[in-house]
Amino acid sequence: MSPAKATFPARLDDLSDMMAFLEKEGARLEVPAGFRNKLELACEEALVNVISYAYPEGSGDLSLEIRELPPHAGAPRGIEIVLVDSGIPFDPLAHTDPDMNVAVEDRTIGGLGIFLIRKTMDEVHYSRDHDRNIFTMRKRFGD
Amino acid sequence: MSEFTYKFENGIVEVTLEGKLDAIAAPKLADYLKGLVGQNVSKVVFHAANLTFISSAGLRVIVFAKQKLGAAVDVYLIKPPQEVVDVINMTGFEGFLTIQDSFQP
Repeated sequence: MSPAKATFPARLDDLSDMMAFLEKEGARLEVPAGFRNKLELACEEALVNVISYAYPEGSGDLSLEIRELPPHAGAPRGIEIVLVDSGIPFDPLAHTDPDMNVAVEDRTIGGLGIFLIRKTMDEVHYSRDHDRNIFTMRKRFGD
Repeated sequence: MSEFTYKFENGIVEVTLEGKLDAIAAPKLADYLKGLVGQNVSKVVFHAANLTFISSAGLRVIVFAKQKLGAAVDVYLIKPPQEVVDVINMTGFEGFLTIQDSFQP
């Protein structure tokens, strides 16, 4: 199936439209019911990261791509979501995971979003290319 | 759009959550809880039977209840759906929340 692509202004006001786009395309790509909530979670966390940090001095765009990963080398089929923005260099993966052993009252809450992305997806990847941030998430529907 | 309802009586805050507690809905809930700082809150009860989704933005607000209203505040989550419990379990927050089928202080 062909990938789907859409571009939105990178702002919280457009988060609902971005999520609706990903949900619709996820359904078209037959994301299994048991993974839909996790996909929604990972996507919101990744989108909010870009919305929050990519354009501190103004506004800009956020492009989304969602495509099917065909079965490969014994691995089941899956899904790939790519977020592209042209904001300041920002590698969300450079943040360390929150320390889950610290008492809640003392815990700093930063990094929780990326922690949840890592928990729900098989692979996450960041790169900087031609003044663009490219954040890729992959999940194969094996379990 | 998620609409929540709020009640504050005898030191007990009750919030009925509906739909998504996501990055869009969370700031409103945070504003409400901020308004209760210093008002001797003893318990915060989130009714979650009609909650369909929670993200880190929503979890932050629930943690805020504990961090800003006081460590002695008891936080309850009533009848959350499995999808929500799964996210809470991923983060390890289940240890500071009391999850119940109906509110029993």
